[in-house]
Amino acid sequence: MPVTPIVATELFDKLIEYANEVESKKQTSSEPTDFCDNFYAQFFQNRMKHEITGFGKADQESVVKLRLKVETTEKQEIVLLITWFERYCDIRYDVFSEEYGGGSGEALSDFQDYLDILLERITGWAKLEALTDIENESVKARSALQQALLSVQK
Amino acid sequence: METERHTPTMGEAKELTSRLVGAFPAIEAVLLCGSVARGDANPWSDIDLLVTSSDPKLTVAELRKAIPEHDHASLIYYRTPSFTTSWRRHPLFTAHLKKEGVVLFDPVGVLRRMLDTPTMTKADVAEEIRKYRSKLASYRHSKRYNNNFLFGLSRLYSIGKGVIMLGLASRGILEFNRDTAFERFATLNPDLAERVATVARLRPFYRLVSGRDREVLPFSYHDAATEMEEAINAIEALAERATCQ
Repeated sequence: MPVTPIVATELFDKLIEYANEVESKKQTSSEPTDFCDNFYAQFFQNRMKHEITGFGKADQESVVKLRLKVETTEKQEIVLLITWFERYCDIRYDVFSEEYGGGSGEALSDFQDYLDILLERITGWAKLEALTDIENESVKARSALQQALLSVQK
Repeated sequence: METERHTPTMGEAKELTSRLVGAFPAIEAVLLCGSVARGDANPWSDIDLLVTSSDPKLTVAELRKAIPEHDHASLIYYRTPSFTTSWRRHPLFTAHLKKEGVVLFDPVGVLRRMLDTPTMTKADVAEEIRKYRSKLASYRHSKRYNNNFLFGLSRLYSIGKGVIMLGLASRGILEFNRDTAFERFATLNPDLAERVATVARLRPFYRLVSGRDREVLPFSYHDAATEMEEAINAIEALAERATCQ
């Protein structure tokens, strides 16, 4: 029986596609929040055995409880990812709050620091747990986004 | 013990606005939309407030702190320049706000400028349908979801709902009440009624993700690759029809 990966490496393709669209100044067909939503869903479900169903107060509180429980048993790289989810709950609906689509270089600019740190923390965690594929994909995605951002700022 | 629910009112929306504006002087506009604005709210309705401000540091989380007891207030927050960009880019969004929005606070004319724009054209509708369709491709890669399709299904519901409303708009019908819009689209396109039902079936996933009252899920969101594919195909068919009308 095939083993379910903690996080699908294919998920990072969403960010690469997004970065390519931003760089070519096209209307983007996906949002970076798509990546974050699904990354956290997979990470919490498969690594932490804790299911999240959204990014509101209830999910944030349940994750805070989880963090308090694992703070002394898990490595710092894991705790850093958990706290970054807590931050995500604070800003998620500021990035793409409306239902009518969106997605632009402007959105990436607003969200850049958050995403950059998330990818850095994913890389740190993947390295710690020898998840080489995830580590490679996160490094690749981070570099593509940084390049896209530079092109938007030019 | 569960608190008894009551139907939210325009008066409450105005009271919320006063508190937000009092707490955050950088707020430049507040618009009420959704069921309370339309006058068809029920005890499960939220008060949907669109808020814009000039403060680059203000967040939804901070706004919420000013109204902690109002769990049923749904805040859509923009920095004012982003709001202006957004309504210019999304004619359906603008049409929606123009049709049912009630201005509660607009001292510098942020909302007035949006409300004064011309009605959306057929070309606007066609372009927006094209944008929605372009989003679907990304959801076809089922491996990306690693057998957890919750957020994908929720997002597909939003896309499907938008396509249905655009399909009506292309016939000159601006309908933003979800149930009515789904029903009208299905009545006008009886051969697509099943496709409309496929999109409607995703609503509980959307409600779960958005933290609203839970509804029974029609199927598990784990191992839901087939259902995801069906939903994408349904939305494609609806978009195709919406474009041809």
